[in-house]
Amino acid sequence: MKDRIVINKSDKQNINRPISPQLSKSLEAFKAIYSFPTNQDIAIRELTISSLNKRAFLFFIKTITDVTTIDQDIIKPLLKNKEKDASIEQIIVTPSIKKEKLTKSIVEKINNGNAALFIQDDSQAYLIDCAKFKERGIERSENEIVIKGPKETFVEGVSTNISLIRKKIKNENLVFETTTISERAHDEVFIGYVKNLANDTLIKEVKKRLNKIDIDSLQNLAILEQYLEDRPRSVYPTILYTERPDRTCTFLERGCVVLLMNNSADALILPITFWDLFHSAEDEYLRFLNGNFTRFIRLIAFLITVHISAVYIAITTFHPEMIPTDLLLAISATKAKVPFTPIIEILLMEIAFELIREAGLRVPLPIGPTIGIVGALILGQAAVQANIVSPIVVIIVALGALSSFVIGDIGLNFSFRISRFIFIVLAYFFGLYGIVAVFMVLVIYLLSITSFGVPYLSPQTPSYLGSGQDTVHRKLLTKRYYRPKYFKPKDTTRS
Amino acid sequence: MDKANYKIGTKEFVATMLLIIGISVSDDTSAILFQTMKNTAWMQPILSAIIIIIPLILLIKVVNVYKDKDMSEIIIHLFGKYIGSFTLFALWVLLTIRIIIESAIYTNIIETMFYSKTPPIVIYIFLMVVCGYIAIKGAVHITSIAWVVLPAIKISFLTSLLLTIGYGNLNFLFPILGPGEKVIMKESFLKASIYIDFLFLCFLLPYLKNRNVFQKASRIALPILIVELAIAFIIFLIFFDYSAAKLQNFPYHEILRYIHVGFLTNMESFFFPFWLMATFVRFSIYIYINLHIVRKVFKIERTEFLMPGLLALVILIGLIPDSPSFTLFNMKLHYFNILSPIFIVFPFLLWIVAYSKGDFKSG
Repeated sequence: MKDRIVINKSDKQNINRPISPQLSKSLEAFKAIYSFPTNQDIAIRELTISSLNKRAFLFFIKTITDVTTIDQDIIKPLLKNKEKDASIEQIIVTPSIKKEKLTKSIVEKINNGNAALFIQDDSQAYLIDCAKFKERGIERSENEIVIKGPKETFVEGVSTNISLIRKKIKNENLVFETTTISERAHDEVFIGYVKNLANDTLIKEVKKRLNKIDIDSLQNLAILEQYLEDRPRSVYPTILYTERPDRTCTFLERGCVVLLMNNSADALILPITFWDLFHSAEDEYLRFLNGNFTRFIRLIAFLITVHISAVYIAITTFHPEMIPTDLLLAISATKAKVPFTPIIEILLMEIAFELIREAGLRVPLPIGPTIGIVGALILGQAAVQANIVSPIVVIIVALGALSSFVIGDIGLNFSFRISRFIFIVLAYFFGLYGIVAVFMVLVIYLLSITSFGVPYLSPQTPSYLGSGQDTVHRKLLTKRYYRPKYFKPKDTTRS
Repeated sequence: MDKANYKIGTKEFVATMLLIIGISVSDDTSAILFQTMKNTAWMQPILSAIIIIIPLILLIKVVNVYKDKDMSEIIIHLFGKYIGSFTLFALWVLLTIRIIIESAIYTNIIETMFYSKTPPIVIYIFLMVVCGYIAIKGAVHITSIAWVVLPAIKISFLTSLLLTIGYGNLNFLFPILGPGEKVIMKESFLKASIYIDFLFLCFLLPYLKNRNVFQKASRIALPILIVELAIAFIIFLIFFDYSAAKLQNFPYHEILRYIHVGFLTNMESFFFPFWLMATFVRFSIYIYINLHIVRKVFKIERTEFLMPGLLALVILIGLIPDSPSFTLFNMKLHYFNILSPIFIVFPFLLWIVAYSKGDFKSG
């Protein structure tokens, strides 16, 4: 539900009017708009510019402007100016000055950290950019960890993020456009792309979808992702959400589009394929064999995490002849004391593990280790000894859960965890038959998804000559001559 | 039904051919051949391929001449409106009967080999529903999924054949000419419908990148299929003698029950998932082609709504035989004998009519 602000008719009329040349009237108007003196962080500096023989006042929000700049570069030059015919642009020494007439645009700029200078008998206000929003420093990445490679992450301020990207892509064709997408909070989304690489149709489509969004305020990119994606209800994500600038730059150089926002310490990258989510940045930074080894391990982890619980249920229920006799005897000995069927055991342990995982994310640091011990002891050791679950189920669920951490991307991680439950249910009803059926249905579903027009399993299926076949294994970097063609970039050669 | 924004490439088409025709290794085709051709069953894929090469070449030629028409339009153009529609309808009936017999046989395989306590109707419904869902996604995606699962299936098939080394007796191959050349030639001719899927896959022409894909894919797939089928039948022969092989309905699955790797004694459940994947692909593409022909013959646009009807028809008729092991075996034997002459003669007819219409000269 949209919670629209209720604006009185008179306020609305005021806000759309041009400012009054009479200083006292505009001062009163702005005091009313900003609820001064109730609002404690508004600063109004009234001064007289002696050289021009005019009164003026400076209006700014203390908490989001750089007071030193205002002091040194605006107030001091204005007060100390001796020339009679100087214009304001010649007196004030800041890099950018804009002039606005409408109250609405002035209010917008003041909200963005500008300082507004109103001069007597002047129907324009001068807006000086001196924004200084407080933000975090650049830190190490916590969610997408690599051993070999850069470790910076994005922060909540867009200019810092853009500077991190421009540090890598020092190209005049790297363009960052902005569009405002929410009505009340005036959130700006920055669309970044390399002009001579990204497909024009793609850029147009992105802008079209951004303009279609009709909400009051947008918190951050995570919410924007849900408005933009092709299929909001799908289990698998179609937009990449990353906190690493190096990964962002890799995708920019392939012809993708990047979205950035203030208050989001990440970037959205589109369009992407399943393999882009599956690979991590480190695969390329490692040497050829090391990278392929990591990918191979990741593939095994993917197969294990999705299938292992389901296969256990299928084998113990429908295909016990598959298990070698000794192992079968061991399993049935431990299972004999457990009162539950395999599926109940597996579901109990899976839910328990999901609870541990969610709790572990949110537990406060001081009691973290204690909760860890409690979880391990109670849910592992004690449950087995109380014969609620058999030890082999604990091994299987733990193995599956551990393997799911190998997949780095958070969106895909959730997809695999949810898919696992679908596999478990069908394994209970149909055994291996059900598992294969779900697998086929899943693969054909993935094949039918597109992310902004790019088929989801490219380049494995729609085969593009020269796309490098960067799917399960990767090639020597020196042999990669072409950009992946499924993003339809304008320039397909890498050299 | 077809919402993909790209077309089928050579790789995917080859994968589809390999999966659809190659999977006949694992059903009772081999048992049928062992019954009729005794110990020369392994010659049948090779000789049948030689027999059908000319019809296949003629078919490709006819298809290449009419570059902007798909198969049903070619048939109607060549044979006229009434005979053409009747031909399409006949093809549809043949395909439906084929789906019914094959799906009943595969359900029987799953039921007897792996799920003996499950009522066959449940297995049948599940198989058909899943294949129906995959078929609705469209030809492009089905062939894509064939390409995705092909490596796994072929590796598992190869592994299962490799694990049979050491068992069996090479002497079972002799006498080489078995029942005599006359029988061999006659049976090769009568069982050439192993390869009839080449004809049915022509209906996927509008979704191919270009007409050459069909030609290239046939050239790549046919030799591989010949080698695959021949080697598999030789291995069945070496493993069981022909007299034992003809008594079993599904020699491949029996072999899976025999082989073992070290401490793993029962391997059949390891190979079951891969065989299942090929089964799903095969029936999905059959159902898709079936609905495609329905669209052309009966001029219905959104044939995906007919899917439940078609699936119900297949399931109900497929469940009719009370003792499927014998009934379906014999039905399939005779059905092969009916289909083969049709498969061999039909491209000749197409070519002759196209030639006499003069379409080859104008190019």
